[in-house]
Amino acid sequence: MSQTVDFEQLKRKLYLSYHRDGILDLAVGLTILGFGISMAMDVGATIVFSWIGLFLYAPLKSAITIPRLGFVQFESESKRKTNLIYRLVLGLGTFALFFGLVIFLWADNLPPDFTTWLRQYHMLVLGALPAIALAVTAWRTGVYRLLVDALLIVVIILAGIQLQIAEPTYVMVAGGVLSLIGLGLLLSFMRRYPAQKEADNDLR
Amino acid sequence: MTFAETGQDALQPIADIDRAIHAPARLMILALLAAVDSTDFTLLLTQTGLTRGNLASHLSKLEEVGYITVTKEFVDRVPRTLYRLSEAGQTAVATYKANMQQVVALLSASQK
Repeated sequence: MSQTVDFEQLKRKLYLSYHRDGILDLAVGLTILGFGISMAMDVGATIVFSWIGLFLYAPLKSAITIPRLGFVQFESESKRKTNLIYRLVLGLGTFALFFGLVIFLWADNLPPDFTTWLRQYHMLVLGALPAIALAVTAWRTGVYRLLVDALLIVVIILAGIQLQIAEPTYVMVAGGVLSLIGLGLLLSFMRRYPAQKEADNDLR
Repeated sequence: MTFAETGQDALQPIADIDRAIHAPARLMILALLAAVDSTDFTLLLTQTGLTRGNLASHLSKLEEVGYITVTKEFVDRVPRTLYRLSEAGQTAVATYKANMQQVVALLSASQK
């Protein structure tokens, strides 16, 4: 008799509940919004605005999700380490792709047609980075809502280019839309899961 | 085949049902713990819908029979009381599932 029982469906439902809080959407949205604000201000130091979203993810999860839904570790220690390596590879790969393009463009090593296209659509390439990261995360985790976020980023940037809107404006619009989606999901999550009493986790 | 014709051996899967697991509240707790690596009290509370006292009582019972382990750990520098399914618990859940499949088969056969 097999000693393992398949609870994958239950795990998946719990996983989706845990990530229905919209915090990831909000963090990505604020990152893009911060980047747009930094572009609009045109001051190098304001690039720190684009880090706000990234640094908000863990504190928001600890302050909102865990006290309401509870704390859960879905994977064992070894699997968590593997997932961390995957995330690092994904992050580094995305940046390598971006900087690789920049270097090729700078060194004038790309075919002229592609260089012309890239000069016109460089914001689309930049926007594709978070979109690819979101799409890969959606595929890996099954949180398919993130595919909509990825698509929205690409569509808003493409529309901005086609309508010849100022670059910082449509970047801020993309970030703002994602932040609003995240905020909406977060409010809905907070209504669904009211705050639990503090002593709940320490009855023993 | 009638229920009586199945004989005592055939009824054994019903007799073998583990009472520590069979209570719906404890089955919910074990199913949740079987699905993940570890959780805290709040998650079990929000997912099972039990009252705090009821959940604490069932967790004590499951710990008493050795099906779950309770540890205090620091996760991201925050102290947490974590509940995990023990090896005995994993075996008990698998055995329970196999027994229940036999019981369902037995009850289906006795309906014909």
